Amino acid sequence: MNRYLPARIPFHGPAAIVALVLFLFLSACRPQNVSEDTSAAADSQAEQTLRLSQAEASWKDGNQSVNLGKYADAVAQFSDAINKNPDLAIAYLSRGNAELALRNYDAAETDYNSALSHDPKLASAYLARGTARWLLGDLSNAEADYRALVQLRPDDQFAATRFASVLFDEGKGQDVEAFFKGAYEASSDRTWALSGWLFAIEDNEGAEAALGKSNELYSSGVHDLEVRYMIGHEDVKTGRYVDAVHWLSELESEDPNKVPTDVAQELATAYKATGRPDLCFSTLEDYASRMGRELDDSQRLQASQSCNGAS
Amino acid sequence: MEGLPRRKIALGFVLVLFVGAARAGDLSCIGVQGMAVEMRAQMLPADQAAQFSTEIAQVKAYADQAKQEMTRAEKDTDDDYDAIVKANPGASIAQVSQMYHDNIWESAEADGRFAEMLHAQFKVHLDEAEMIEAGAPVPNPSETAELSKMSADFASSHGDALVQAVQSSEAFRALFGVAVAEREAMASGRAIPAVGVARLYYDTPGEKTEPTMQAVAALSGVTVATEAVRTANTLRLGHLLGQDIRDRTFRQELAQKGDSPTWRAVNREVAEALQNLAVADEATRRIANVLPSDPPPADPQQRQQWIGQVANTARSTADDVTLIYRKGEPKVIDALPSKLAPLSPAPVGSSGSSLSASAQ
Repeated sequence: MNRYLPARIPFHGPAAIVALVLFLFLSACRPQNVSEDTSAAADSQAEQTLRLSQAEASWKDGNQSVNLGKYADAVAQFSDAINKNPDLAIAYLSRGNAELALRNYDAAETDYNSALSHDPKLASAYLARGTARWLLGDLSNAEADYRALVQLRPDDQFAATRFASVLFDEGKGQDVEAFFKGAYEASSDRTWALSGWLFAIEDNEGAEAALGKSNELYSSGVHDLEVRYMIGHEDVKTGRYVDAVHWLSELESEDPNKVPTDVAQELATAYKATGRPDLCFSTLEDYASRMGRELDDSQRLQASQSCNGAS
Repeated sequence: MEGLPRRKIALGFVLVLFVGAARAGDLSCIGVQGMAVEMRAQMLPADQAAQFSTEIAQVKAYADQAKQEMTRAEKDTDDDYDAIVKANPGASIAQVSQMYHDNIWESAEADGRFAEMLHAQFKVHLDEAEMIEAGAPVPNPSETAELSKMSADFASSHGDALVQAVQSSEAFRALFGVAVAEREAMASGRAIPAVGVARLYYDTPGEKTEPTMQAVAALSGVTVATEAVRTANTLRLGHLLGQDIRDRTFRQELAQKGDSPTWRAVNREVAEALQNLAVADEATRRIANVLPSDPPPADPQQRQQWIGQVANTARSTADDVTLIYRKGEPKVIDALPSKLAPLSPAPVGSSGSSLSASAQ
């Protein structure tokens, strides 16, 4: 007895034949159904793979359109990517950026929100939304986004700079100081935070306070370039030109990528104040190089006159 | 006055020399990069410095290109500024700058000229990124020290002959580029996990094939390229937001105007930079996700499989990331370091010539 047969079907007479035919039909169908299910699943999976692949291709097309300045095309391509893969957070973010380029701010905001709802840790979405908000003057919400960004990326100097910039815009100078101080104290590798902290002290409390803190740090063994620069910088600001020459002249030979461009300009000021016009002049030439410029004859004359005390 | 670069305002008595820079483009990025490369070359022994004459010339060429672009764009804004100065004798720098800003949003022509200058500034940052890449092979003292340490560590475990072969290879240079990029990234808080590809390179001496090495070079290349994209767009965004439109009142005026060339340019520049940064993050994520940090297994067969898998993944990821940057041309992208060996489409496998065999 086939265990699949209904127990109550009498297996004799026409009914048995009907049942048998039905059974055979169903039996024949059963494996066929399984096969169809498997095939359908495979088709569905293949279709899904294809859709994901198409979504990826559309997203890449959109990237290219953005860089070609074809923002409306980019919006359409990112929309296509989203239609094919509604979970593709980066596509929402990308479409938001294209909408921003078109100055469709509401659409951009909606897309940034969608990107973050799909991936709450998508740092670049906080950067984008915060920047768009900052651009439009919505400082409190920009601050919230940048705060989330720096929490996700505590070592990112650019993110920190953006966050500090908004706080400054909001008149929260003390918060900037606390933020950079905290970032530096959490990791002394973050020398950019050290720099931000000292500049914030200068903004909040003045050059003397910043010089005091810089000297205190140096005395305690913090000899990073940022501290040495700040001592020289504040020496210039407070008129201690001899000291400034000492601190700033040694920075001139360090990697220009790590030294503020102002070093040469401030050093020229200090040289002039200490009666060394020749060094003042050569440092101004150096400053011009750092600024990516060259002094023409007229500027050389002006520089020479400035360094020699002429107006 | 907040909208102007602080360093320009602080110039004091030298300001007169660079009045153009006060309302036009900033070329300090170009100046600093060019100076940095030249300083690094000057620190090298004379015979070594000569090896990098091509790179230095290339850096200078990019600097000249940037200067030309900026000079062209800022000439008109210079004229606008000079006209204000002449029309307002005795006005302070702050007053002149305010009048200059007012002029931008009151005059469509001045507005257009400022927008042009912003776009030129963007191109200058692309030039700067090219300069960074072109000058990257010129070592600086700290990198040289690091390279020496890497070499010493490598020599102690792998033998001098192989070290020499490796150091002279393009792939090594690419890998070193990754190490530099990784350090840079770590310094700015963005980990670039090159550990997988580094393991493939260092932990399997004598077992790698040419296609494997090409996969390493390809992935190293896109990693460096990703950092270049990130650098250029961070600089671009930083300059625009931190200097050109830092002043809130100026931003509000531009936004109220709504459809000015400057405001359009600002939105485009910001959006493109944000998108490129998002793309660089996505590229980094993909590079990070696919490479193992575990060492290769000891069993020879599993080890070969491991090498093949990592190399295949490295290659496919490199192609994928390359496609992100330039769809349709998976093998070559502009941002790839010029020193990289040309990529071969040959599949990665366990056959082929061994690097260590040729080295020993």
